[in-house]
Amino acid sequence: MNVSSSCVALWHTATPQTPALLAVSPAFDTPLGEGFPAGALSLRDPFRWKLDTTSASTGLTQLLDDATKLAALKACETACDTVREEGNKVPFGVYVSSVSEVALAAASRAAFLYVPGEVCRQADVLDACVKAGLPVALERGPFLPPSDMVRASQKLAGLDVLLVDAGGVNGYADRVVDPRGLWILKETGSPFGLHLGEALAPQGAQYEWKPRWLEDARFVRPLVLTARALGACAYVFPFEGNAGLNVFWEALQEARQETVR
Amino acid sequence: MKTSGSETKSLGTPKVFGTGGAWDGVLAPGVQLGRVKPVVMAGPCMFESWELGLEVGRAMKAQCEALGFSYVFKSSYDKANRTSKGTERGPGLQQGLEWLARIREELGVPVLTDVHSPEQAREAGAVVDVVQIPAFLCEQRELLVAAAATGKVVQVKKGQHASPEQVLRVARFLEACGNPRVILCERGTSLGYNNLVFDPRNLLEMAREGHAVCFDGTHAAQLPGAGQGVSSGLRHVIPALVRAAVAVGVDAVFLEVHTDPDNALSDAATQLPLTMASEILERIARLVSH
Repeated sequence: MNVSSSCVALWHTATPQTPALLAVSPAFDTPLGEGFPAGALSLRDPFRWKLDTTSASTGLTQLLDDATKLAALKACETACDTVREEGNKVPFGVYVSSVSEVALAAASRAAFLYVPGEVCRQADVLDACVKAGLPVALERGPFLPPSDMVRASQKLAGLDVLLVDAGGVNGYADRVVDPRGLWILKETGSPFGLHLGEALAPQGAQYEWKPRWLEDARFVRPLVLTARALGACAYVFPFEGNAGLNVFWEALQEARQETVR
Repeated sequence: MKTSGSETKSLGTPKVFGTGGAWDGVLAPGVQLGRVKPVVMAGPCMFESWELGLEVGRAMKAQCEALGFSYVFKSSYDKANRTSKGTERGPGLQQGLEWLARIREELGVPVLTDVHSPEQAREAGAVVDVVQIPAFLCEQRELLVAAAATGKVVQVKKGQHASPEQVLRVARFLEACGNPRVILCERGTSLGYNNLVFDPRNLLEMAREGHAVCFDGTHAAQLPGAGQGVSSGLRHVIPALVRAAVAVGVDAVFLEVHTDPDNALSDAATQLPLTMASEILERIARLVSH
C-alpha cells in the first residue's frame, strides 16, 4: 500500500526480523516502568471504549466529556515520559472508536491510532483517521473474513497502515489464529501483525461453559513462530511494567531468537 | 386460549422484563412485548426512499393488524459499516429521521432505527421509539451510555462474535445507566468465514435474567461478505428460522422487507418480498395460537 507523502509513516520500516512491538498497558495511565521493552511502542485506552469484565468500564456509566478525554490523553503522555530511551519519549498510540476520539487523539502527542476489530468497518471512523493523517493499526474484526480486510484497508488509502490479526471467532469466547488468514494479509502488501493478547484471551469475552485452557501463555511461542514464518512484522501484547503479566514478552523474545528453518 | 401445562397465558397480563422486573415491556401505547403475540418489527433495511418506506410500512401494518400482532416500523438512515467502500449508505441522519417521524405520524406506529455514534443516539432518540445498537458495536461503551440516556427502548443486536453472556452484561450495563427498557436481539453467530448459525440456546440464555428477547430472522440468514464485496444470504431458510425462534419463545421478531429485494441497495439476498413476509407472519400467527 502506498503511503501518501503528506502522511506520517511508522510501520513501513518493520520487518519480520525487526518487528514493531506494541505493548498494551492495563490502564491508560499506568507508568511504563524501567522494564518496558526497548524499542517498543506503548498502546493505551484512555477513552475506555469497550465494556469488559472490569469495573473500570462496566462502572463507567457516564459519557466522558472532551475535557476528561483530553486529561486522559495527557496522562498517557505523562505515563510514557517515565521511561526515556536515548532522550526520546516512548511513542504511544491509543484505541479509537469514534470520530471525535480520532480528532482528540490526533491533536495529542499520540504517534498512531489503533482501530479495534469491532470498529474496523465503521466508515466515518476510518474517514476521520484519513483526515488525521497518523499511522493506523487496523485490527481485523473477529467476525470478519481475512479477505474483507482488503476492503476495510481501502478505506484508509494513503495512510501508513498496519493490519492486525487478533484471531477469528472460534465459538463463544474463543479465538483461533488461522495461518491462511495471515497469508491473505501478507498478500495485501501492507505490513501486518498479530495481537497475541486478543488471540489467546479475547478482551471481555465471557462464556460460563468455556474451558479456560486457552488463556495459556505457552501458545505464544508457536503463534509467534507461525506469524514470523508467514511474514508478520508486528506484535501486540499485554504488558504490565516490571512485574505482572510479562510472559508474553518473554515468550516473544524467545521465539524471536529462534532460527526459522 | 389454550393452557400450557398449569400456566395460563393471557394477553391482558403483562410480563415484567429486566432485572428485578423493572420494565413492563411497553414499547408504545398499545404495543407490548410478549411471547403470546410477539411484536413484529419490520421494514426495509435501508430507508432508500419515502415511497419504499411508506409502501412497506403500510403493508406490514395491515398484515399485522389482520393477524393480531403489534407492529413497529424499522429502517436505517445510514448503513455506516458497509463491507465495501463506495457502496450506498442511505439518506443520512436528517432526512432519515424526518422520514421516520412522518411514518410514525402517518401510519400511527412506533418506529425503530439503529445508531452508530453517541451523537446519532441523541438525535435519533428524540424521534424514534426504539434505538437499536448495531451488532458490531454492541459493547461500545459510550454508544450504550448515549442510547440509555435517550430514555427510549434500547434494542441491542448481539454481535456475531459475542456470547449470550456478553449481551447480558450489556443489558446490566444499560440498567446501571438508568434505563431498564432493554431488548436483546439474536441475529446469528459466526460459523467460520462468511457464515452464520442460529443457536436457539441463545434465546433461553439471553432471557434467563428476565430481559426481553427478539429474533432477527433476516440477518441470521446472512452469509457475511460472501457476495464479492457485499453480503449474501439464504432467504429461503428465513421462514424456518423464524418459526423455530417463535416456537422456542421470543418477545419480538425482526424482519427486513422490501418491495423488490433483488434490487435493494443493501442486503438484497436476505430482505423479504412482501408476499414472503406475509406468509411468515401467517405461519407464526398459527403457531402462537396453539
